[in-house]
Amino acid sequence: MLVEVKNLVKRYKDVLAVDNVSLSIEEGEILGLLGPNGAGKTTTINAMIGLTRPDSGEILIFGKNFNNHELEIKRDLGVVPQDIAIFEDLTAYENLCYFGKLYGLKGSLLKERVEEALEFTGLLDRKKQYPKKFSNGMKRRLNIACALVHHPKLIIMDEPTVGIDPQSRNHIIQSIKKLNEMGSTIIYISHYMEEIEEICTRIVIMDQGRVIAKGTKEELKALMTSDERVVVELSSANYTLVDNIKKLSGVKDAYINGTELTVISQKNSKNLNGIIAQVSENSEIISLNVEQPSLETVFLTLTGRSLRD
Amino acid sequence: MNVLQIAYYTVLRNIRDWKLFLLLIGAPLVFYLIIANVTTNVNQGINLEKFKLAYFDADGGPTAQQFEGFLQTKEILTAFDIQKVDSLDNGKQMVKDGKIEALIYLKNDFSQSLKQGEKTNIEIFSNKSISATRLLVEGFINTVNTSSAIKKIAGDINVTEVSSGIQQIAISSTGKTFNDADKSAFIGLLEMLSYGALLGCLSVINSMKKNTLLRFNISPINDLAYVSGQFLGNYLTLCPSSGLFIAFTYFIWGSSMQGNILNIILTFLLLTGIITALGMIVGYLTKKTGLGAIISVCLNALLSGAAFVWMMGTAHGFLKWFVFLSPQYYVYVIVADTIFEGFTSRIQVSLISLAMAVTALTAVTLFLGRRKAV
Repeated sequence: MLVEVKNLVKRYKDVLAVDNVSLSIEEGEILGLLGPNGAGKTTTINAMIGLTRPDSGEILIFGKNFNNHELEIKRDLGVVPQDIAIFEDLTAYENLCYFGKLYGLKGSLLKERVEEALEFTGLLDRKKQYPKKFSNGMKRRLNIACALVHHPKLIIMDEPTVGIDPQSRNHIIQSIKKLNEMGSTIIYISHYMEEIEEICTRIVIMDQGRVIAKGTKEELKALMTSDERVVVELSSANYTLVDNIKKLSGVKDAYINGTELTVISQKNSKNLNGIIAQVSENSEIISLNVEQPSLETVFLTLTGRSLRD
Repeated sequence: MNVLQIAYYTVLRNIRDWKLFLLLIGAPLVFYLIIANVTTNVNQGINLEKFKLAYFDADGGPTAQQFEGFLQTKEILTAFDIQKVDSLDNGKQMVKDGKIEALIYLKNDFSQSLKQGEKTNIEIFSNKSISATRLLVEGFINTVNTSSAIKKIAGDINVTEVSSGIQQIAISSTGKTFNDADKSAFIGLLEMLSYGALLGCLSVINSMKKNTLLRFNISPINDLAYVSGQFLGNYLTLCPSSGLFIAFTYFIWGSSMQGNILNIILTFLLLTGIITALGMIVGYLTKKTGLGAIISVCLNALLSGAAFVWMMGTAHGFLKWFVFLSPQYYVYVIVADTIFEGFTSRIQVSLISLAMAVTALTAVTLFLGRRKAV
């Protein structure tokens, strides 16, 4: 177990920011911490990296307690903070050198690691430029590079894609996948469910300071009791088709709106072949879309609220 | 090792903030050049009309002779056309006729009164309410710290103020002392140097506002490494300003320093430490750019102002007490006593006071800036 958090509690005056949170992370995982703003994600992480002193609970990182092994733990931690934390009056290269030196890197090793981090984040050709001339996406990438320069065992990323263009977002997502393939363990905090779904091997959903669900995305979706929905676009509408489809096993409802047929079935009814067969007999299929429950719907089911409420 | 690296990058960043750097180095440099120009009387060749005045010495005692000597110094004769008259009536008549602007009158018991510790006066007869002669006499009085002049305007005598008598202040008959213009210039420059506190203040607030402080809080460095490096970096950035001040002091008064330049260097190194620490403390306590800048400026204006009013002899009440908290006051005492052969003990006490202040303030800075869980 790379990280183990047991019964973590943190209170700010009258606000219970983290309420008895327990979670663990295995080596090589990408753990997604999902929840709306104010769910307690960042407070949990701040307690893990020593920025916040918890009121109670135990945190073990690399099997060590933070109180007794603070510097040892920090040496193998890489943190990408939510807000960009770079010096705008130092070049990209100097920023990485500065932060690399804080982790004891020097000489040719420092130079090598700095170049590597710049290349990894696609900033090598901008290394002599000052970040004040960078786009927000490039600043975010440099923010990430600063956390990677010392090759940490555990990387914590707190909403690293906030407020950036799709191209930079895609670059960052691909970089995270690549980092994981290279063996890094990552904790990825976000309230963007699409990102969490795409990259995380395991997900913890938090709300109002508590962990409300955890598991793989498949396990989380299995918690859902909602219906499955198949939407088929037809070349021409045929109303007798609806009656035939309603007779298929598991189908709860079917209706046509223009040339679009919607079929609502019970979860795991496995009737897609039957639907396709019925439709093909009567019309030509232009497109077909099976709508699976998303993490958004999981969150909605668990809390009764949307993630972005 | 980390402390030096942090200091290096702090200096690099400070230098690259060219607006702030210009404010801290460029502006003082320009002011030093102007003030040096004024202080060394480079413009003495300009043909100004001299003030005409006369004096009548009915006393003839040692202090009166010192005053006569003072009137005959090169500096005084540059601005005044002075003549001696043989009676008080003749002098008064010359004032009435407009031949002279003022008559200075030393009474026959002037020196004797001073010797016995009694109150005494130097009288000025003039038809002008603000007479340059009054400034001249006050200049002399300030140097001997004896009594204020009685100004006689259109024949009326008004006693304005009398001093408590002569204290142990060296009397310079050559006029080689800080005159009022020098004092103002000196404190003005000290105040300008003290605005370097803004550097420390802004660097602390910027690191908080721009989140870079977080990187140091999560890195495996000693709790005091970052604040120590930042302090050292800011200190080193301000050193060129102090260097300029040392060079200025040496250029203007170097020949009078009796080889005590080390006193001056040590003084300014200590002052730079105090300024840096003060600025950083204000930054840690306020955490806001505008408020921090305002407090830094006001604090330095207050400390410099206290030194200034003390130096001009007009400090009363709160300011008389507050001056002992003013590093600028100690710097002035050290520089003045080093140049004009003042008391060695006073120089030593002032240096110790500055050293104690820098130690205490640095400790507070390190305490406030240490890494801590929040």
